[in-house]
Amino acid sequence: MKLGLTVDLDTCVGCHGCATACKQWNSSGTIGPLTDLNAYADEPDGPWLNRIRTYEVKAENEVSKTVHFPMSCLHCENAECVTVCPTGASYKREEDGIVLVDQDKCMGCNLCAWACPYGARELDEAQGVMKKCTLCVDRIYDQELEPEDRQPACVLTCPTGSRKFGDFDDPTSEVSLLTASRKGVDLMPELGYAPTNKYLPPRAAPQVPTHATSTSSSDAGIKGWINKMIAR
Amino acid sequence: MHPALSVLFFTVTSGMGFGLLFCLLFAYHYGVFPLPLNGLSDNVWSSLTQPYLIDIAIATGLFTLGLISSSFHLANPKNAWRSFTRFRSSWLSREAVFAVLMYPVLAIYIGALLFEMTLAANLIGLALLVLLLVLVYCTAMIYASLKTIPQWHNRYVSAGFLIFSLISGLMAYAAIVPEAQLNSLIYLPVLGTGLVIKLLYFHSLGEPQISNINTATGFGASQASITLFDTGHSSRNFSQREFIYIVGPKTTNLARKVCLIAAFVLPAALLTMNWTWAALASHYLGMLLERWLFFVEAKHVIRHYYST
Repeated sequence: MKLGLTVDLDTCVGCHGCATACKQWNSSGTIGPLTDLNAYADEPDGPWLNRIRTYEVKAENEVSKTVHFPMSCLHCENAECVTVCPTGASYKREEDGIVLVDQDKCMGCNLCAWACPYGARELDEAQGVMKKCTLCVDRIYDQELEPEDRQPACVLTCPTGSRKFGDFDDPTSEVSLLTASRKGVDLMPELGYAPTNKYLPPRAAPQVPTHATSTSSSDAGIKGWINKMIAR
Repeated sequence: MHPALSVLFFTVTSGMGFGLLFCLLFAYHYGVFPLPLNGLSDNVWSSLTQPYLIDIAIATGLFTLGLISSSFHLANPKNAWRSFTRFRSSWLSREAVFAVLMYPVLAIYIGALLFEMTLAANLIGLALLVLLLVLVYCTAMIYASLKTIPQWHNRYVSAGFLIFSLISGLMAYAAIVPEAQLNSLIYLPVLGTGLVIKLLYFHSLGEPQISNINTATGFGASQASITLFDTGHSSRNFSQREFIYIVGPKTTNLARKVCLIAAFVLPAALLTMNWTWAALASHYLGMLLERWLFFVEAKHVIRHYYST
């Protein structure tokens, strides 16, 4: 098995729900706590296993887009973070490819974070150990949960369904099919980390003709607008 | 990269200690440059006070200071002993193993000297020389193996660490063994090689990088222009503090010049005047600046996600 996520950049609305759900679940999960420092002060700080950045993307002959870009551990096949770890705290599971940090072995040297191109690892400064996405390993195998709930917290909470979880080794899984149909991409493929998580690029939207509406009468404008809405 | 003071101090100081031990062993066993005393006296136990052993103790003190300093950048030092366990995959683990191995091997070596077991001392002395080279190479590879930092992922880093350690050791040797009267035919080529490697390294920093914001976000094919609109958090996070440390080119260009002069050029001039302690001081400060530059000019690829 090769478990991972697809992130649909077309439908992500940047609500930070995935990051919040992640923080909530993992604060009390196997790698918890995720200690916050200065939580109510000017410079709140602390490890997050998922962060959402927002970019303005402007391609030639296209209108500019706002793209929300959630990033958590991509559970790379060539996980250099595991290779560089001197203590054996970082490991990649044979059975499903999940990259984890054994909290009891980590000495907090930060070298794994240096080796990660994606900023997926953050030091918990209160505990002195490295924190990262577990793909909710303490949830996806939990037989006490309903089968549909055995998914990472970020996937379950996503209001637009832009995050999907599944097995990339299975060509018929939802994530494999989505990656094939939407031409899912790797981030920084040139580094050769072979990340498991795939990003589905925004769809090319037709340009909205803004200049034509200003010259037409208001009547035709409203009529035209209603027709267009019905046509959708 | 954020230049952690403990790491700067550790790599420069232990590099000097390892280099000094290398020079002492080389001088004692191969007689390339003169020693204060030729060999040890007949009275075995009075030899504990002999300059060669005291000099070895100084070298050991230097790298021990460096190694202790290195533990200050660990957030959870109680697990430091575990860093000996991943010898097969991790350069940091290899460095830790070889660094700690130095002590018993050195103890056996000194024992062999004290009991006048010449053959054993020669053999273990040779083993120590090899161990020192391997150890400094491991330190260099911790940095050079990181694909995420293109400025470090090149051949000049390991060559640099080795030659800089040798130079630091030679400078310390010249200072603490004044009778040695180092020949300029020894120190000028070594300092010159260090200078050239550092210049080549600085030159390599100008090479074009393969990663950019397009490859980082996956919009590479579209050749779109991408700018960060919002980081999504209100204060600097761990990654930004650790990896994004911006110093302007004016400062780094000046620092490069000062570093080259203080670490290599000035020590050469001072040595020709036989001002060995001044040469050592200038070189050490120059190397601290070199190591500071090594960090601040290293740009982790995560900066692409932050448009910096």
